[in-house]
Amino acid sequence: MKKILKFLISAVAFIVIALLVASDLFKTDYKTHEKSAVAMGTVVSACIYGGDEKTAQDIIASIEETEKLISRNIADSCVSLLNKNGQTDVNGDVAYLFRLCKDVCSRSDGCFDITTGELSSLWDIGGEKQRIPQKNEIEKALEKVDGTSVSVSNNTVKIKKGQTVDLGAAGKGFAADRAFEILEKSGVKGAVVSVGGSILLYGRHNPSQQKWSVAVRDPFGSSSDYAGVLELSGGYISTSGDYERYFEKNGKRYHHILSPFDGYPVDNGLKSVTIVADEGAVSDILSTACFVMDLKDGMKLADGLGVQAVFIDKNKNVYLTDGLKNCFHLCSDEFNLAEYEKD
Amino acid sequence: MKKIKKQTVGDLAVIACVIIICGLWFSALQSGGKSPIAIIYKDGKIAEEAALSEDRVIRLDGVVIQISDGKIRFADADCPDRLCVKSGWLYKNGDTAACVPSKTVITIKNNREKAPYAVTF
Repeated sequence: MKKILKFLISAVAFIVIALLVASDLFKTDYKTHEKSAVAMGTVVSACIYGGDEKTAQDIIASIEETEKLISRNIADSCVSLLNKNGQTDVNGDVAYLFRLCKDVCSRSDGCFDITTGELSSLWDIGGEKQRIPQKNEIEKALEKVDGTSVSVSNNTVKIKKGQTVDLGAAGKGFAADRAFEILEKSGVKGAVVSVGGSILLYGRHNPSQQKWSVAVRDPFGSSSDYAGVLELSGGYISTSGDYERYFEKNGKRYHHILSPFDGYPVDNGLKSVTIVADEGAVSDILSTACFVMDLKDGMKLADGLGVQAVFIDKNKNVYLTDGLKNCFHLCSDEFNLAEYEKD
Repeated sequence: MKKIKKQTVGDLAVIACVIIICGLWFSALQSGGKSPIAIIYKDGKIAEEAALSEDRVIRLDGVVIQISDGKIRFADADCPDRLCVKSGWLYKNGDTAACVPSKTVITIKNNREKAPYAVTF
């Protein structure tokens, strides 16, 4: 009897310890391979979970390729050729991106517009020649802004004479979409791809179904400060805010998100908008569109398209779409989780 | 006498298993506990993995990087906008800053400190 009791106690102790170890190991992340570089004018990185270093390298190379394809600062990119010649042939992916931009342009009543290239050049915010342009210069540049005039037929894109296209508000998310294709073929268990602030969460980071945590930057603080954290099982996340590229003159901040209507930096009470979507380009484009639109119309657009969003305003109020209410928590008590009242 | 011996062998086997499993568990926990380092990338390749425990200055083409009191920063740069210098000190796990013109990235790795998997900005 004593023997059986002793055996049972030993067995139970053994099982308990084995379960504890197993549960801890299940929550331990897969081995990672990480690569970082500078591309598309920002930091890009690929962190692979349960895969090889080559996949990380392939993703960085793919982001660099995307930059060559769509950057208007690269002379032989398709966007540069479009701006130079008024039309150009593009591949299927880029044609799709142009269609998406045109679609959001019309859904946002022109708040998202890729034909603001000349206006952006005029301000050159974050660049060597940044300045407040004269009113007549802005008015002249605005005459060429009309995203609805971009036409995409098969794989040929056309713009109106004199227009300048800039895909800066869509390109990082688009690069994340292209990274997804590489991950699908690679057989890795999981990955985080960051193209600046546009993020792709792919697969899983450990054998359990633990979610990924993604910090949303505090738009009032430094790059190390977070307003809150999203817990997500996957998808694409992009943010647009007034803090990333700006200059200050006479105590006023001039940031890089320009209104296609008056040509000045958007000033509607918002500090940042974060979008969670199933497509990288969609999250990138909608973060800009919603930022330009304002809280009320941006919320409506996000809800209508079935994407999730975090809006942070100048009074440190944080508004969430319904789908994020159980997967977002604040990191700082300076912010207030506010309820958005729908019409 | 025989009985006692048999029981001792069984006990020893269980104790041995427990010790081995605890050892594995402990080593698994410890493997993630390296001292904080800064990984410095230049042109997409790792140029240096620097311990944050040692104060020093690292000069790379176009930038001067400083490590002091467990923190790291771009102390000086040749680029016109100097946004990298303005990004200030980095010290938290996952903190990242870049000098875009010189294609230099600094990122902090500290396996002892929990960090989000990504930051959207």
